[in-house]
Amino acid sequence: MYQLIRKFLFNFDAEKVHHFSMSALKLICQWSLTRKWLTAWMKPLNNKVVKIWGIEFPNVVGLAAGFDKNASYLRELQALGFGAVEIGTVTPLGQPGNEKPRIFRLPKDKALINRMGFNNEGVKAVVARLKDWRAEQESINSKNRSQIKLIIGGNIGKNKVTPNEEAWRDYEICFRELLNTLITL
Amino acid sequence: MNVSSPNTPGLRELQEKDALRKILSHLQTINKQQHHPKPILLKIAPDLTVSQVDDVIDLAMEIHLDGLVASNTTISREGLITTDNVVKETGGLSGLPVQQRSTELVRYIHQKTNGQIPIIASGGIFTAADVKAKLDAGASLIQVWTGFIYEGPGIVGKVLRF
Repeated sequence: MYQLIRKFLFNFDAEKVHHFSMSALKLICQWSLTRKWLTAWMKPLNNKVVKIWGIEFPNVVGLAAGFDKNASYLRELQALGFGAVEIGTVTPLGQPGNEKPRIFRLPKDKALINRMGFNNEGVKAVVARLKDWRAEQESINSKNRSQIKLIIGGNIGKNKVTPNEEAWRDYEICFRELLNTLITL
Repeated sequence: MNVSSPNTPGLRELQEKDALRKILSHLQTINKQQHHPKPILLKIAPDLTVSQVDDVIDLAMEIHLDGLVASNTTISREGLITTDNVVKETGGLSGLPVQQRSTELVRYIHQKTNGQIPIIASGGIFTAADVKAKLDAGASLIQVWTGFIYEGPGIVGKVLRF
């Protein structure tokens, strides 16, 4: 069925479709009944826990960085069965990224070309969202022990305006901000 | 840590050994001061030469990096079927065209390090067979992105059916 939906969606600008699709998912996940229905429907049959770095990943499949740059769709991605999500790339300051259009489809090659350019809201805004997520998860976990945990990783970069010689500072800022918020939950 | 996006001018120059050492060892030092240190991973480009990959591996061993993510998008446009102007767009290419290169990179790192450095594999994963190929090459975990766009919201269940 998705092949049909895809055929339709691929007629429109890739970035707009991305936002439209994620907004639709957000709507579904807004109510606990429909969210639970989606979670049950998407639940992978072969979920096998993988333990690495002392962290238990619900399964081996993660979503790569660049998709949820601002940690805006964690609930939705968890419902789709992902074991992990790598948020970001985040930079110290928010930045708009390159001019649109900046993502292109090559359906014949099953490929994409993107030049997003680290568009993101900045590490502070992202950390605030992660804290909200964490609080929400803790309240859910206290009620339901069987809740599957989503592992969150953070992808950090440097602002476009930061020269390479000072890049280490950008990485430090992002790293410190994320250190106490990230991984597990 | 991302020094491999092709879309921030000059960023990939930070993949050079001395630049990398400076940033990564700095982050490691901060990490070790924490009560609960977090794993630090480096995400690398599929466009690195063999000697650059060897440098990354040496450095990763030297500073006890927790893992590598292989790989980011490629700036290469080799072997594409698409012929129209979209191919000329600047940016990183992802999906099926980077699948093989990414798997080879995972295998190379895994063999060279005797499996001592955990690898997260990404690059052209659409099916369960693709996941298996990455795990067989030595990956501990995998990531999708382009596959999510092409296969849709059911991709996790689909690629885990092996």
